[in-house]
Amino acid sequence: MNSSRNEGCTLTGALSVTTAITDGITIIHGPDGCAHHNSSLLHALQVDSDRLFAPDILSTSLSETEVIFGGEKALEETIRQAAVCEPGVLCVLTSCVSAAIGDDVQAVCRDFSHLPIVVVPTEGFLGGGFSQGVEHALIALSDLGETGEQNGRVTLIGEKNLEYEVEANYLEISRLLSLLGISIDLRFVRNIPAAAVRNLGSASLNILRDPSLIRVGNALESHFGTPFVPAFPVGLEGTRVFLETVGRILGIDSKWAVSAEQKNQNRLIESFHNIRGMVLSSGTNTHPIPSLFEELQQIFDLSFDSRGKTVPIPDPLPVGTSGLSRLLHRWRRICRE
Amino acid sequence: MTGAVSCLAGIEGVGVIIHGSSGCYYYPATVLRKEVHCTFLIEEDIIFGAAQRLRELITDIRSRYNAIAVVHTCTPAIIGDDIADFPGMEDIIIIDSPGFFGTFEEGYRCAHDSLPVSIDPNKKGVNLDGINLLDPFSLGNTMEATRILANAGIAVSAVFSSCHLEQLSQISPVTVSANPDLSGAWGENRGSLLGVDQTKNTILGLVERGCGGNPDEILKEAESAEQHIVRSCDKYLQRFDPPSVALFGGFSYTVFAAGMLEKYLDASINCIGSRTLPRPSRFKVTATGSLAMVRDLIERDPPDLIIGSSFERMIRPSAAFVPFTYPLRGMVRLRARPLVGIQGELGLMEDVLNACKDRIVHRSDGTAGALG
Repeated sequence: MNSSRNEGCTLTGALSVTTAITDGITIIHGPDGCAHHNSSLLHALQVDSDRLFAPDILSTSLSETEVIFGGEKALEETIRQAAVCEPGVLCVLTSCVSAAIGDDVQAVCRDFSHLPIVVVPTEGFLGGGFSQGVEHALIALSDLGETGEQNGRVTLIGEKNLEYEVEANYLEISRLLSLLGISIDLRFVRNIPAAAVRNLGSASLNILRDPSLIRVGNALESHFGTPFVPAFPVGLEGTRVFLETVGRILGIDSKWAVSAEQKNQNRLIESFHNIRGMVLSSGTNTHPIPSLFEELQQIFDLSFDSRGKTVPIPDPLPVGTSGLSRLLHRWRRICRE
Repeated sequence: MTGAVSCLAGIEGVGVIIHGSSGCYYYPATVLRKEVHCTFLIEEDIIFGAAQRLRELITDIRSRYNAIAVVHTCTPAIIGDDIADFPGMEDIIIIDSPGFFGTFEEGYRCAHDSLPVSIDPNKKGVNLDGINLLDPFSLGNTMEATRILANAGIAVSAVFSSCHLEQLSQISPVTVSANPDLSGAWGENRGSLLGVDQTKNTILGLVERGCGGNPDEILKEAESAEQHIVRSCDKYLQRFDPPSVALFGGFSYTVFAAGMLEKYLDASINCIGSRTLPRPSRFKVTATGSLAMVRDLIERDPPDLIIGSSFERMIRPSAAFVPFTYPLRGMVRLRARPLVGIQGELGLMEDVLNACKDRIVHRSDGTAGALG
């Protein structure tokens, strides 16, 4: 297990996926505190994105009694309670407490085989970190997918539901794919009903949000035979390469799309001509300057130096040409100060 | 765990360590906006022992603080990580309040009662308790309580939990509360400051006990405030029907607010959802431990006005809304607002009347509220 000490909880990662199923209910098999602080976090981040959102989360409310005598009965009761609402899918997430006391969650859920239950093994920090939670949830939910005829369309895999720019990134990918005449069939998993996941096996191409999801991409390719692109595009050249890659995999001639995007990027470069030669600083950010910024350094003759204006180096990096444009606007605003 | 950290982080001079993973740490660290430390445990620490990691962190930070408090999270509590017996660690405050032990309030009280406190029987003034960093009224309550007590000639000795550790070494034998849900073991409890009536009674009781002072100024201010409230509510009722109300928050806060709305606005109380353990009350109070229960209460009898958090606001965005308990998202809140004392009651009634009027006026001119 290679988990970072400060990455956050596996449970939170999994919840960021399972609570994005609009007709789903997520059960946290753990103490109320886990449900409370995760609900609060998800609520806060969604409200910040102007979305009224109360995650459908139930807690098995493990207390000292269950820690001593086991929490399987509490899980059974909570599953029954959730079933009354007839959810499209019932996701059961484990916590470090249920893992430490050794509850057999799979066995409990097998007794409810008439319900659409998906068990996501999360185990809190005993199961890794946030990104493992996302990965486990996506792989577990992919069991709802069905193999089908390839439909010539694309599925987005693992959009970062807690990311402030998630919708802006989606629009950028939609725009780029439209240059190739392709549309997005499914957002796995972002604000979709459980039934929509059935189409998972029908996509002609999966596009992963970032390379950390490579195991998810491999699992889906192995199960449904769907090829994948490992990440949303970053940088100007990266965006053009993305178009070429998607076109090649889907058997579409991408020359026109790449040329159109090149013109779009040339306009962008021209509109930011006045940042040419600026001296910038990444501030206290100790991460190495990503290759994206090497590209920007060359195009705009920028230099990074501790005496320069401190500009944000976002993590994750901006997506596509539009994302880069927004970043350059922020940099230019700072350079004007 | 969060309740315990909330209590301890309010005491200046105490270094607080969450003995657990980053996932457990981020929530209290984010919402309390205080420096809190963490052992950032990973699976390997649980297998090979996390106590050494905790000892190292204590050693690293102890010179910066007068005392160190360690709050156990679930897994270290289950595996029985213990450092109390290690040499040099005898003075560490250990709070065993993992999430599965109970509620926020239980964690808060566990930490509160574990603080190194010494009561001085001759100490003048009173202590204030029930102050909790997570409470949106925390700072406002401290300021209003201090003002009211000062106007009655009564000094505040210590604030649980928002003062310096040194102040705990010689506290008053008498305590008044800003929030009885969080009242603890320190000092003889002489009532609360929730509401104008209760404030008057508490101040008179303190003066009678010899803690102060002269209550005249406060009584005069209270009378004037009540007249303002009556006048404003009467004006409202000339044009509008009383609102039906759903209240959510801690037991003491919600029951106080329900009583105020019934008294001055003849409001009907559709439901009270308490996040803390309900006690006997003339109102029907339901313990609400989940959003599903909150949703059920609101949808069963939809109210005109919701007093609660942004969770409840979301469930029925068409209702008038008054922010009352955490979380409060999607709005800017910068100033200190009290709920206790005279300004607290005035402020709450002001918010209620404005929210109800805004909702009615927006409806009649066809525009929705900000989130409607």
